[in-house]
Amino acid sequence: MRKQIHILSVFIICSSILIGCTSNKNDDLNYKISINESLGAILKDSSRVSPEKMADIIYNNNTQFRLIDIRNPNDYIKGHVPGAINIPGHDILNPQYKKYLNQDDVINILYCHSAMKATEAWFLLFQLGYKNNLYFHGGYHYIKENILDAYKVNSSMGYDEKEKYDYNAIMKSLGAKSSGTSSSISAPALNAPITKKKKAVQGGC
Amino acid sequence: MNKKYIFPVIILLLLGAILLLIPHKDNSQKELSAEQLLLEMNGISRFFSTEKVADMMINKDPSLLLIDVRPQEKYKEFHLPGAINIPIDSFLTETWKPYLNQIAMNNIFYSNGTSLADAAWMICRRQNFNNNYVLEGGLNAWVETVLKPEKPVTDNPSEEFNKYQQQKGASIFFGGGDAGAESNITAPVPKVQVKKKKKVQGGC
Repeated sequence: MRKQIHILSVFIICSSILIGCTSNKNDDLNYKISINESLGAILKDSSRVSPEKMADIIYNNNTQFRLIDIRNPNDYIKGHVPGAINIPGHDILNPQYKKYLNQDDVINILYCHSAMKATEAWFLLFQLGYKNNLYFHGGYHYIKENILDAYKVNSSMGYDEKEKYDYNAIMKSLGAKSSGTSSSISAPALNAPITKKKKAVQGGC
Repeated sequence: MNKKYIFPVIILLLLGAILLLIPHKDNSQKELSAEQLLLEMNGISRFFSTEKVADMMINKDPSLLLIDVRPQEKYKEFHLPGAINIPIDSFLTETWKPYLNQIAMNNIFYSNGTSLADAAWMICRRQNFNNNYVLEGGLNAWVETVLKPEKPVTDNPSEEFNKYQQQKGASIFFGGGDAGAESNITAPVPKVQVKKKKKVQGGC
């Protein structure tokens, strides 16, 4: 009987060690949103604030929203949107900021120098399950020039994924053939190198 | 005798059952931690400038693979020479996994701007895929710096003019100064790559 108790306790210790090793210590920074859902959110594009909406929020001082400047503190001190708070982008996972970035009271709008940085920061927070965050594509300079100094909002400008040029027209103006033919040429050519290459590498070693 | 062994056996079975559950947990942990992802997000090593990529294309860098993450219709309308199309909405399908999770090539994602390609990069990094990079500025920057470079103002330093001359050369290369140029360029590139690689291995 004693032996059984001994064995049982050994078993319990072993299993608790195993479980302890596998569970992540910092549960706060685990991805709460699956990768499929995350990609879906980027594609849906519903968390991006349009320049018109941004202007509306800034002009009307809408307290439902809070602007978060994710540039570094130096840039923030030099100039920022009135009412914006500063959370440097490299520090957004710092636990001390969690109460601002994951809450139910207001809706945060992240902005940075450029579209890409704000999108990135938002995307990371979203994947971690942080709620009530949106992002703005135009950077601070866009806001300053087109919203704060004068109203010059043009919906195409604050969005970096907008095609600024007609690529085909440019190619034609440079004297290239119509791209219809060029795509038919390059597509089959590229299937080949990858598989062949991989094989070649293995063979060599 | 029998009783003596029943408990150890049960324990071993139970521990085995727990071990069975562990790989499942490990799989989810194979994802890159959020801290690490943030660290890499703030670095700039994932970015390739348009000039750099143009240079690699002209020199027929065999490790370069351009991946257009825009929708298929956009890709059919226009894409960079030699680029393949993996629309970002199909990034998680198994078909494209061998392209995105590999060690042979340097994949460079591009879209119209930077942010969509960058989101694609984050999707790949979270899954711990390596060798994926982003074309900084995307196709818009490609037009501005490679296809239609701006002539520097006359009082700029001479380096600016040298750079402009290079860009102009690249513009002729990619724009195809004469009609036949582009098709001639894109088609033979892969063949050359394959031969080159084989030679190198022979040397080893």
